[in-house]
Amino acid sequence: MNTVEAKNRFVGISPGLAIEPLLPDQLKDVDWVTGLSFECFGVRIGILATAGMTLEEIRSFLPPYSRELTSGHVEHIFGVKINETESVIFENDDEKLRFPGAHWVADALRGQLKYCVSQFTAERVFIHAGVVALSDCLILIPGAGFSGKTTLTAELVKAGADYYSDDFAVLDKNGLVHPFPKPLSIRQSSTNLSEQTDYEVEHFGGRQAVKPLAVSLVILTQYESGASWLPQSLSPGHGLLEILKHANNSLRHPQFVLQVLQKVVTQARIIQSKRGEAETTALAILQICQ
Amino acid sequence: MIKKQPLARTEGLIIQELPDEILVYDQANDKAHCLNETASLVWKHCDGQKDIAEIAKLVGKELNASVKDEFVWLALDQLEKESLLEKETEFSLKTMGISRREVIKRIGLASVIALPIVTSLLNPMSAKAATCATPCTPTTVPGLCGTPLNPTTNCQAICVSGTGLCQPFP
Repeated sequence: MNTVEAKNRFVGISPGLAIEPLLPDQLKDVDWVTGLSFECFGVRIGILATAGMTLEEIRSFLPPYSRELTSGHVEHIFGVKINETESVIFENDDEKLRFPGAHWVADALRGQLKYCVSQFTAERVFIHAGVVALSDCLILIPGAGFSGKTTLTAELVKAGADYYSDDFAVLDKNGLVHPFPKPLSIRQSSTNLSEQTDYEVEHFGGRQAVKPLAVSLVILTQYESGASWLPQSLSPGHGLLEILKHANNSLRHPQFVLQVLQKVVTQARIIQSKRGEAETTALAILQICQ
Repeated sequence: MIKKQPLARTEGLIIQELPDEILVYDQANDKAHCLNETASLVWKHCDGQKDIAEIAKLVGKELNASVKDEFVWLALDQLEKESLLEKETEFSLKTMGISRREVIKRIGLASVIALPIVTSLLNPMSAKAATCATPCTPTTVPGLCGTPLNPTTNCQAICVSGTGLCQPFP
């Protein structure tokens, strides 16, 4: 297939996506059968897929707050090639991921799309964090993968807090955190990185929050077997440094991110401690809120 | 010619004032710095006009305490190390031929005001890409590299065929 054919084919499967001159070389001569383009917080992304992935599946991978586009250019194109032996995900001209079979491709594409939005948006600050709220006390738990933030988030929900996200805190320019709904993804084992099970928040007896709230409490913590909860307050400056570690778009939009985080750290209490079991820590955190 | 009056760098910096602290983000190297109250006061007075004795006097007045020149040196040493002073000034303790320990001793451990401290952090979002791009050692999970993947960033990564590198796997 030449470029013109590929373009026409692509426009045919995703009418809203203007690709000229964007379609990268890697994606030109592939037999795409479906695709769409969407926008999420100002980041415009196109997705193409070969046979093996349906349009409905692609739609289910879009990050919250996405809307499908019917016109205009996109800044990023993801290509998903699936065949009997392996799956490959491209981002623009880069091969990002390759897997045996098709088992991993759904989670990987969902993650890549979300990651792309979180890195490039200039409309929101994306902090890798668990977020819950008890009444109007919003608790932000920034943390890297494997810090135990989903486990702690789940325990806070079980203890009565409303659920915002176990993945990203999404803050607007005024520092308000908006719900970023997704099921809680619980790892089944510390040795198997990819095996996660998704649970709806109702599974923990909780409910999805709907109201944007300002941050009241920032908890900087990491699970350590046998550790005691010994909370110490951090200054706004040191708190900001700690939160910045987890702000995905801080590299591309540092000014915007710092302006928003300044609002967060001047209004919220920032607490740091190692923690032991999530259940007892959750109760201690909620007591601070109350 | 090296100037004797320190001058704060401003170009390429994003400066956020916080209660009693200043947060500075250096876009040249993607480093964030938190200046505590006393380091902030010293930095604010680095206008290229005042010498160290004058800065010490002004900071002392603002803190309502006696501030020695060494106190200002201690702040300038850290500010210079983090490239927060213009290059035509040179104020490291090394060039003075004294150690940090000696300066703190001269200031006096019983100083009623907090020592100037600059806490710095390389934006891990820039470090993440670099530290995740390590040679692949695929494990039992197809495509995933190493466990734990990176003890510093804890980033999940995946082996990218063709490049032989791990890439972040959000």
